[in-house]
Amino acid sequence: MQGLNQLALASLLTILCCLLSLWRKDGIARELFIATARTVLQILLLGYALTWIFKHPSLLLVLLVSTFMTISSALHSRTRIKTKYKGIFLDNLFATTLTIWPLALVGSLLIGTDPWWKPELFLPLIGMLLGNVLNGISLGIDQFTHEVHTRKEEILSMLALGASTSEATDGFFRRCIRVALTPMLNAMASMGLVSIPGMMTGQILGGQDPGEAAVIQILFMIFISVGVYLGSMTGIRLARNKLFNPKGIPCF
Amino acid sequence: MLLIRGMRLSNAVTINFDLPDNGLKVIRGPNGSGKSLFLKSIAFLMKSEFDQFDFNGKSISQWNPEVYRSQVLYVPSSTFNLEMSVDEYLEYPRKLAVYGQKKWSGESVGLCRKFELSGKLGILSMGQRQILNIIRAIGLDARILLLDEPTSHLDPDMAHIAENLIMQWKESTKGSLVVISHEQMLASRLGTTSTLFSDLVLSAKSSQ
Repeated sequence: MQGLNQLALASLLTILCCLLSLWRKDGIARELFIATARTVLQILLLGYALTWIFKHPSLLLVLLVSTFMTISSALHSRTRIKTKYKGIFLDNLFATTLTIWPLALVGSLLIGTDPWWKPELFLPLIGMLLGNVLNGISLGIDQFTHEVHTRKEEILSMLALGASTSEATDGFFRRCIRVALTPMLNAMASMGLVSIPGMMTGQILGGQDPGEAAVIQILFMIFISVGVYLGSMTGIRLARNKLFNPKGIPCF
Repeated sequence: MLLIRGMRLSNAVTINFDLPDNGLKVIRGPNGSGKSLFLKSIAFLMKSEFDQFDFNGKSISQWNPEVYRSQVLYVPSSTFNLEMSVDEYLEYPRKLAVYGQKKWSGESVGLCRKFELSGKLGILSMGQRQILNIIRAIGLDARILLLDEPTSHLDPDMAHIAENLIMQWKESTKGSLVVISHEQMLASRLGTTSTLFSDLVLSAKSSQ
């Protein structure tokens, strides 16, 4: 009950921000309100779901929840990409699954929980990976689709010289990977100096030794950075294969 | 050299087209008639359907697309990589796998010096970029140049120089040219007659 009171009080701050936005007419109030409401609802549901799952641990349940999270992630990533193309959801799903699942498996084996799928570790791990990789994939593909559409004539002029699709789009590819990785690189650069990562904060608040929390946080950050890089690279590559046919002719 | 039958462009225009060895075709037509689309389709840069599409006696489907495009070279009316320098722009094709170990003459670089083309493309005028495109194209390995309004931004003197460069290339390499232009006198200056784009069209959507 005390938690709900805290939530209600904190929500007042959001309402104040929404009122400020309405007064300033900057058009952000509605989005801020909806985003906050969604967060409250989703996180509360997650809290209840995790409580239940932790009380009834099973491999099948962990895999089902992980699958649901992966599909949700691919759907969210798709909605964030403004210039869409046919097959974008499957590309997102493939890039996410191919990157996240092996990493989550390696991560849980490396941390050494018993069993490897222990929900208390596996679900937060896959959740953190998905959240960050979703961001990277959507940023990377969004930038790539935008660039190839707006700079189509430039790409055509390179293809015309005899460049292969990959030669003609490599410059775009590199830029888009950088765009996809920038938020994560910025976060990593300031981590420990400017910010204390959320997961580490949670563990410390939960009474964990800060040294142990730091090790787990570092492991997670390594997995996340690898995931964002591999995920965005796979996603952009898949997008390129859809946007150009095997003969190198643009399909948009 | 180039034989096209029943090419259906994405604007639903159907075309027959022949270009012999060392041939020259100048095509005129109003804006929006599909001339550039046609040129890009010949260059295999745009999707099109066709009954027959042969280059050097071999069907287009048998050609490696990169090799074909390097041989049947589409030359746009302007440059796009504005952040590149003139030297980088000339060098760019050398990095492409399709040109392999080709030995490059310094002719293009020499012509750029002669016409005082240097610095970033972004600071060049439209005309300078246009002549740069022609200079780069004639230094490559093409058998056919598809020139999309090659002199549209050039003053009369520079247009004359560009036309000479193009014709010298044709004579020295025995290559072929397809030139699209709005200019009525260009064909006669190149020593030929122009063809109206509408005369190439077998059928169009509106008449179907």
